Amino acid sequence: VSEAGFVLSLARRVERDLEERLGVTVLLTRDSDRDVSLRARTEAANMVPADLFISLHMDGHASPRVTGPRAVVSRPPLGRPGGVGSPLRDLGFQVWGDAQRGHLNRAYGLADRLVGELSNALGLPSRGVEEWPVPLLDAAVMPAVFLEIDSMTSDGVDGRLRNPDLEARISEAIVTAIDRYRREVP
Amino acid sequence: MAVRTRTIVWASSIAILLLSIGFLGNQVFREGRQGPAGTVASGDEPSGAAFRTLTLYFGDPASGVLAAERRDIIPGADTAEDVAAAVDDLILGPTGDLIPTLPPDARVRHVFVGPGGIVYLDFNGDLLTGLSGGGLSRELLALRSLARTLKSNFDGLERLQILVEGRVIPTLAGHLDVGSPLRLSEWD
Repeated sequence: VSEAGFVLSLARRVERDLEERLGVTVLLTRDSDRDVSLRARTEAANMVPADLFISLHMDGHASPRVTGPRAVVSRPPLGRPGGVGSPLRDLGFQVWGDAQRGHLNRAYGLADRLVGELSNALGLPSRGVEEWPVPLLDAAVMPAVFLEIDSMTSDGVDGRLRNPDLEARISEAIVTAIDRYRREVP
Repeated sequence: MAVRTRTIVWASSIAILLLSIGFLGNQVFREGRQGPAGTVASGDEPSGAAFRTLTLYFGDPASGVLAAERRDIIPGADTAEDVAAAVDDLILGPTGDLIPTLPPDARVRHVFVGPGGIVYLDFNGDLLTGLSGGGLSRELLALRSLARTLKSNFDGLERLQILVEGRVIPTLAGHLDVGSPLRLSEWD
């Protein structure tokens, strides 16, 4: 199973479940096995504009002993042009690459629920929520999360991926987390 | 005449023998090192030499976070040479059970330490080739390994600008922003 193929199939499942259970509209930035640039993905979300941006992934850690879901929210580097204290910001410009700063707290709220629900659903340890400068998320004008379901290189992952219920369980966990976020995060 | 010739032959033999011993000694010394030119594995150093002990950070196989290994290097002429030796040793990888953090084919082309505590590391393209297709974790481990190794061994270094073949690149493998200098304290 390739990472891209697994994630694309999962995204379609999440799209269907979200629309059925929560009645929300879902826009996939990639609906076939083709490469889409990071910038184009963020632009697609911003053009709607979407309420949430979730980037689905399987990690590939160098250690097979590292397993479980992890989420990353983006912390733009200090000193980035257009960031805090920049004259551009004072003039009211929203600088590309610094938009996520204003949504970081809510992104944390979403990321925390996603990782928690996935950890419970998969019976795997949570690797928590981390902050790193992720260009894919930096320019998003809504809470944005880079979500890793598990590591493709972890011990036992092949057996887990062959489980026919896996996709449904992951999708259910993601939908539940988004539902909780809507009700619990102001 | 015959005696003189023998003396010359003997002298040549001794000279060749001494040169051979010198060469072998140098080879043994080099092969005993776990690092590139200028470095030795901690504990293998000949007595009396002026070495500097560096702490290098690789991946811990259980937790996936950073763990330390020590190396002794023969100090270079300046900070840039010592930084190059440290990064070369990171590329060579751990000697124990820790996880390598940088691709084995990567090479440091140039190191430049600029004003304000910024260090420029210019790698060859194999840095990107070796990290491509990996997850965010591999990219993160590479950057954190570099940042903590630099921060913990070189006072005065505060920021790192990664270059590949002399150019600034936006990311190493598509996930994390390296298009501007990284504050070492933010990546520790």
